[in-house]
Amino acid sequence: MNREEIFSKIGILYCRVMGKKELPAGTGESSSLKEDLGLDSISTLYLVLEIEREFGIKFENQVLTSFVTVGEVEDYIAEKLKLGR
Amino acid sequence: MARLNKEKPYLLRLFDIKKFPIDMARILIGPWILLAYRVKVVFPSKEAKKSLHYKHGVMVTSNHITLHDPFVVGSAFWRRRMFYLVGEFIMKLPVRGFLLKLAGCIKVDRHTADLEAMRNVSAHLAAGDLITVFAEGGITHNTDLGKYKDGAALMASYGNVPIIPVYFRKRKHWWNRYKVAVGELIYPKEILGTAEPSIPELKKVTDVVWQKTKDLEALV
Repeated sequence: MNREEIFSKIGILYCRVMGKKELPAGTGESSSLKEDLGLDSISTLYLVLEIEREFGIKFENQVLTSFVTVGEVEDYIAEKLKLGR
Repeated sequence: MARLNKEKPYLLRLFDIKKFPIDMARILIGPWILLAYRVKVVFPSKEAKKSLHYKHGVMVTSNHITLHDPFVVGSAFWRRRMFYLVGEFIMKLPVRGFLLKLAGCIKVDRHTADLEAMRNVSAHLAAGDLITVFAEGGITHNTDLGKYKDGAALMASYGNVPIIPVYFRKRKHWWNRYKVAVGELIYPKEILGTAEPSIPELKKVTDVVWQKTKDLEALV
């Protein structure tokens, strides 16, 4: 699985969790989870649980609070899946 | 283990060495608490009475007016071990935190996505435990029901367990009995119609739980 596929899967999961048809316009790796995607603590938690289920990985609680952008989440998943940039 | 738990959910939980401190606290302190609060449980319907005797994983959501509330709600459900979601600032102090943990409190950070708390709650619900959440997110100091947060709905939906709404008022004098209203079991899956709800759909569950709790106000 490459990074584009990870981004695409995150996008699909985001839409399902937030009940939206598509990602907000202009969403990219530098988009902020809070400001651009509108994720609060509950929706972040739900999204992470869905990501864990989809990718078969486990997030550490401490790193969850450090995520600011979509790219950072993508990096973390890639690292867990042992994928390079 | 999971298979046994499914076949004999109540018996298996009755003798659980990991929950020994909670059981000891229930035996030693429980009767004094029951005597001090003398809770009278009232129900809106015959169906709601079944909530008290539900023997599987379940979430209890209640209003929160004073520090006594865990004991009041605990007295209503005295037949079962109860686990409470408690703000992390309360469990920060080492000794108090340790004792609360022994007493069945689960630490939760209300301001962030607390994955650890979510995992703890899911494990408890899967083991058939009862988790109490003060869904307003803190003490409100008045009997007007505040807005409920969506965490309880998420946890119940994710764990596929029902929610029991509970409402009570502060007693006027210390010698008065507490009157606690316990509502019918609310199954998030029945409201949502899907096992994979979105956040706006989960808000519907929160709204239903809040409304059912509001309806209980008239009983107490």
